[in-house]
This record gives sequence, structure tokens and C-alpha cells, in this order.
Amino acid sequence: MSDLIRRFHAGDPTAFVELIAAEQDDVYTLCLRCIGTHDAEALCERIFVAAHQELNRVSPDTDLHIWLMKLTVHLIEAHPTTDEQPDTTLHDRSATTQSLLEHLELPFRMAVVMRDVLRMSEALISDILNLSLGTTRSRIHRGRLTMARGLSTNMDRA
Amino acid sequence: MDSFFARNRLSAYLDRTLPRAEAEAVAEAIARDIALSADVQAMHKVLGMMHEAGRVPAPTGFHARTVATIASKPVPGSQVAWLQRRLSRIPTEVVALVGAALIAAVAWQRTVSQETTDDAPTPVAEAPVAPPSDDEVGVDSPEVPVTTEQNATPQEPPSPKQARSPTPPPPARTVTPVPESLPYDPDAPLAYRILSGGDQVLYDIATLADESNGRLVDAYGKLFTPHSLNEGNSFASVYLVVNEDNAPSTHARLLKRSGMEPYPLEGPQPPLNDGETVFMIEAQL
Repeated sequence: MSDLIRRFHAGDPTAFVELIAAEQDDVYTLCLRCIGTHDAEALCERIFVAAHQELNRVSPDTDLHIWLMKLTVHLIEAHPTTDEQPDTTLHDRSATTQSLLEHLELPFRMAVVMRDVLRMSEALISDILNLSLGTTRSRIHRGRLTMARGLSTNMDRA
Repeated sequence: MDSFFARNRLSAYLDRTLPRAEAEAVAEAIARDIALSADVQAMHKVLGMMHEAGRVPAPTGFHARTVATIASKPVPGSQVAWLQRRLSRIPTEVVALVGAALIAAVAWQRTVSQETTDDAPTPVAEAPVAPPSDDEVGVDSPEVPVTTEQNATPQEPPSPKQARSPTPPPPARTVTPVPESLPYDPDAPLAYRILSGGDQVLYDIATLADESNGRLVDAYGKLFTPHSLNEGNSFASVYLVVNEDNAPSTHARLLKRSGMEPYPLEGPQPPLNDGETVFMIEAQL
């Protein structure tokens, strides 16, 4: 990845095209799970445009994945929240997952999505979210527990 | 371990990151407490659902759309971006005032120029520099500068305004002006030069190719990816392959964009399908 930064700095236009291809699924998934289907693609595109504008200032030794995820988190936090209904085009289990996630506050939602959907390590998540390891673990745990109780409540209603 | 402490360790327990002794203590607490057991089961189910949801691939075409969006913006660090950043700091009112002043200055200059022309001595014979006829230009007045344009049209007499004007003729140009109506000959493929096209010139050509339903390729027929030009990489040559039906209009647009006389396309050419024709474009920063 650091090679991509060097190539970008050297003016190689294919470097950023490769970066998008490598990172678009992670960035899109985090956007989709955190802000819903309606704005996810537009926000994802804005993130890459912002990354393209900022990448000239990034040191070649920077971990590009962490840097891009930090930028993604920053722009998700800056994104205006909407009361979006779960997407009915998703199949049932995916819609249920999205619905349970949307009951979490954004900091917990991001931690849980990074841990359980993107399968990142707790250390990596704490680095991206700029939190201590203990706080990161606490957010993941509380997010999971809230979702578990939400699921139990849904099952009781059914 | 009581249920409160066990509940706080449920995530680590399910992730199997607890030390063995602590994991056994949590398991005992779960076995004792029905509510804790229900939480474990629900959390286990949630984890399964999240893992199943997994990464969602970006929508089809997202990559191409994003690349196109980025391509439409100035390259960071380029002179265009530098200029844009600085221009954006100038208040709109100042820009409007400067623009209005420029328009007024141009209009005033034209008025003055017109008045000077009208006041100039009218007899053709008295005009000190303008030749009254072609014979005098070529033979009797060798010191009068002759432009390539005058050479190109020796039969045309100078217009009355030219004859009356005291201003000297424009200096000879090295670039031959090209009429936009230069006919297109399908049997003679052409190459076009775009000089001083700017750092985004290849994207302009790609847009032209899209609008002509054509494709940009290299000499081997491989699709060409447009990119920004810079001082280290300031030149590119590319082939535009279009349907023969679109060739005349593409030719006209290339002529207009180039502003120069095209030259015959020689050397290697990309492979073509039936009914296709090719144009070569040499673009410079």
C-alpha cells in the first residue's frame, strides 16, 4: 500500500484507481451499515474524492488502509443523520441485521460493524477510532449486547 | 464469578479471547443464570447474522463512476488546482468588477480604433504602406512585408478597408489556419495535434470519444485509459476508433479542437473492425 502512495506522489494516475478497487468494498460496507442504503454510495464516492484531494499530503510510510478508514469514519460522523427505514429490498436476515444496527448509537454501530462485519482486530479498530483498547472493547461489547436484546425483544413480539 | 462480571465478559467469551480459567468461570455463571444464558444465545445469534451479512460489494459501476468524478476535478497540486484555490478566495464582487472593467476597456479600445480608421487619409494612392495592387506588391514594393496568407491568395485584391488602413499587416504565422469545413476523406486517415491542451486534455479527448460513440486505444488496439499530463509526462499519442458514419463529425470536432492542419496518418495503426475508421491524436500538456 505504501507503494501506492509513492506512485501517487510520483504522478502515476493508475495508483489511485488501484486504491479504489482495493478499498471500495470495505468503505462501502462501513457506509452502508452506518448510514443506510440511501446515501451510502454518494458518501462513499465523496470519501474517495476527499482521499484523492488529501493523498498528496500523506507520508509514504502511512498505513493507507488505516488512513482511509479514519477518513471514512470522520465523514460518516459528519454526515447528517436521517430516520431511514430498513431497506425492504434486502432479504429478511440482512434487513433484520440492518434494523438492529440502526438501533445503536453511531459510535457503537461503527465499532460493531468494524469488528463483526469487516472482521477487524480490536487493536486496529482502536487505532482507527483513536480510542484506547479498553474503550474499544467496551463499545463492541455494549453494541453487541444492545443488538442481542433487540433481537430477543423482536422474537418475543413475533 | 457473579452474573454481573460474567455479563461484562460475554463478548470476550464468545470471541474466545479470555484466559482459560476466566472462560470456565464465565461458563459456570452462564449455566447458573437463565437470563445470562439467554443473553449469550441472543448475542451468539447476532454475531452469526453479522458474519453472514459480511462485506457488501460496492454497486456495479461504482469504480468507473468514482474514477470519472475524480478525473473531472483538477489534479491536486496541479497549477489548475492552485489557481482554483486562490480564485475561490477572491470575493465574487471583485471578480465581477474586474470583468466589467475589462469589457469596458475592450469596448473603449475598439471605439478608439474605429475612430482612428475613420480619420485616416482616404485616397488609396496616398496610403504609405498598403499595396494598391498585387503587381506593385510583388515587383515595385519589395520592402513591404508579405505574409503567408497573402501568398496563399495572390489573386484576391485587397479589400477597400485593408487598402485604407494605415496599420501594418499582421506578422506571418507559422501555423496554417484550418477551416472547420475541411472535407473528410475516408480513404486518407489523418493525425491531429493538440498543442497546449492542458493537463486534462486526455480526458477531453475521452469525452469526445464517448460522444462520438468511439473508443480510445493504443497502437495495438488495447483500450487507452486517460490520465492527467504533467511536466514529467507531457505528451501522449492515442488512436480514436469510430464508426464510419460518425467519422465526418468526429473529424470536424477534432479539427476544431486541434486548430491546426492535420497530417496524413502513417506508421502503425490499431486493428479495426468492419465499418470502423481511425484518427490519431497527439496531445501535449
